[in-house]
Amino acid sequence: MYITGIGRTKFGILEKSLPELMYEAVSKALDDSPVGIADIDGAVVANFLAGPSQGQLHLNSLLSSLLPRTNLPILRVEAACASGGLAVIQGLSMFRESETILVLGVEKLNDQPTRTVARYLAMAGDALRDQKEGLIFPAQYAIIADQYMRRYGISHDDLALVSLKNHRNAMLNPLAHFHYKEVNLEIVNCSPMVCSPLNLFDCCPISDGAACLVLSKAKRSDRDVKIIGSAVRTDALSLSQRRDLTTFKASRLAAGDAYRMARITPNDIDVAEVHDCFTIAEIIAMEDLGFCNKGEGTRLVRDGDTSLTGRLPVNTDGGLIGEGHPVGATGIAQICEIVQQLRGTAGKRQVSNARIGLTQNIGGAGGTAVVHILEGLQ
Amino acid sequence: MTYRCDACGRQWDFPAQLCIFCSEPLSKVDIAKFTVEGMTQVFVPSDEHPVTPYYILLLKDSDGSFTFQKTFAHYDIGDTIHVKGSKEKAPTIGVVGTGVTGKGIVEVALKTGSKVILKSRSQESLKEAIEIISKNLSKAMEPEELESALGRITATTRYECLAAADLVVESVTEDLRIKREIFHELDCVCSPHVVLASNTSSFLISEIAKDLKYPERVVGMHFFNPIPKMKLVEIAKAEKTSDEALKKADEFAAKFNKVSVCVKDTAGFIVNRMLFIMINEAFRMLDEGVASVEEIDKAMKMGANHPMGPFELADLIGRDLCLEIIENLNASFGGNRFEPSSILRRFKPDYGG
Repeated sequence: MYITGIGRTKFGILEKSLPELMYEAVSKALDDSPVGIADIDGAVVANFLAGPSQGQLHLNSLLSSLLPRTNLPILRVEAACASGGLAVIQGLSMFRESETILVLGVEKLNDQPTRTVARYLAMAGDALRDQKEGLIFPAQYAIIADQYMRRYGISHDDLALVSLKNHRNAMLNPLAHFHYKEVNLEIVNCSPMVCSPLNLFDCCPISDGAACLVLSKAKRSDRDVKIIGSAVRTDALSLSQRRDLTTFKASRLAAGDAYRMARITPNDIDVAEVHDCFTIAEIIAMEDLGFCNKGEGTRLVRDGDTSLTGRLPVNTDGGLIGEGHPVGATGIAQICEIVQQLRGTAGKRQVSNARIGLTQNIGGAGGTAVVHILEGLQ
Repeated sequence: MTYRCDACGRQWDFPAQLCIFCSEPLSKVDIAKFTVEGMTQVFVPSDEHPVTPYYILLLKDSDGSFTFQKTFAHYDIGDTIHVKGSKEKAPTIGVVGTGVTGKGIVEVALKTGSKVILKSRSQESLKEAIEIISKNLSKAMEPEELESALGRITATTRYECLAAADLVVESVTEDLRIKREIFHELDCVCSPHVVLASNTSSFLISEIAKDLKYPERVVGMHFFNPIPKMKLVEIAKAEKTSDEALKKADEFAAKFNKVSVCVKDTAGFIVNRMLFIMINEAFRMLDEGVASVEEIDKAMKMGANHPMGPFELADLIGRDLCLEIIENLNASFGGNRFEPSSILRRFKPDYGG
């Protein structure tokens, strides 16, 4: 199975409406692909919060109205922040009936007050155990950071390095939410506290945007990228239902499944996009994906291993922190970035000699984890 | 409440009937003791949690399972909490105002084991108030006890911090506009079950509670100076005051080791209405040359068995405050029952002590 076209909007605070964003991403992906709209057999739409925030559900039909008279089989997928990654899994499962599938992710949140969006995003957590206790989304990762710091004795300085790296990468990515923002350590460290110990620069922004992939059962061109590993795993919804908060079991298991499917090991990965909704999440991802041992996640960023010129560049597009987090689109945008890196078309942020890339997309606080492994053909 | 399968140890938070793995019936597990294992302090408001900052505690039970709990109070890692939600913690009393009465209420609350959130307009007045409270408490407490008592005070200039209180007592200057503004703030910040009490001695509670969202939780709680000594609290019931609020106010008074009387929402309640007739009358007698200050005081002490005479009492209260209260009572009752005596009126411009 191949990715034969990619397309995405800019991420950030955008004027465009939900259907406009969807249409732009789909158009760009089809433009990028040798496949035309007439060849598409089906589609999957990923979205998290259009229901509460836009008063718009039934997004599979909304996509159908953007593709008049196609009457395609279209499904809608929701798994909080992992909606995009899960939509790709759903798309792949449709290949029994189809040759070519569109996978689209979209989110529109920035026309709502922040405190209202904070409540919507909290819907990714357990309504009874978490939301009622005020555990808004950053608070979940703050608890994780709190536990990680207590166990492994790291400091906020370690987290700040992740933010700095990802913001710097975003400055090389014209489509990133924070493409306009030169960031230094002082800015990161002096930003206001959101949920202790996480301050504003530990957090990804709330972004609007859409991203789209054209998946094909057959190889269509040399620009295609092959999907060699694909897995989803889940875990209990509330952090309080787990025993160890310094690791995401779903992520470890999904990575294991994907590596097995691809018949590779973590050492074979040349470039990775991981779900850094908060700085601590990137640290934990390094460990869960097998790039280092437990408790050593901070070392990779400190030693520069995960910078653009390092041994294993991570979040080359800026990650969720720098590139933005249009929730439903994020998992798909991660794949777009890896495709560009493997095609060698990533421009100023191109890493050298990348052949195999990985994406890790997390829903909520690790309740869903999707891992994809992609191989370039060039 | 947790439901547990004894065969495999898996747990559910809701009353599931059978374990889906073992088909065994589940047993109820009532865990009452939690240790604080982690925490975050949330600084950003959201629709359902508008008052910040608040803490979320990660609690661990004896079985190693986690649970979350929102709280406004600070806990340390390793603290033990009994029974999630109820905490068996001392109540938290919010006090608005750092005058003699405000400080007195703080003292009494601390002495009886409560936590206190003291709100004032400026950091200076808070600092000063805490110094005086500390000095007063030190007379009756051992150093360790004093340290623990002072540790239970939170001083703040922000109304939002009062959201953590179980009862808020307002004791600012006798100005209806200011009191109404304060109650408006409290009405927004404190959850609807929290009793809001005014220590007013001359306004109607219903006037203060007018236009509030939850007027039913507003009561009068009138303390008497010096508060640590005087046993009485008048609890005033306004038209809209709920029985529940009244009962809670009564319980708080009892917790402060006070005796309470319940009174209808009328200006001056019982004590002031009676007392200021007397004080005003004493000044009138002085004005009319009936007797000297000393003679009037002596007469009331010896003849009516009062512990102090009306002038001594007026000095303790402050003559400017006496005039203010009498004027307010006069405005409330009309007629000439509380018409301030001309001598008392003269104290207004430059009363010095």
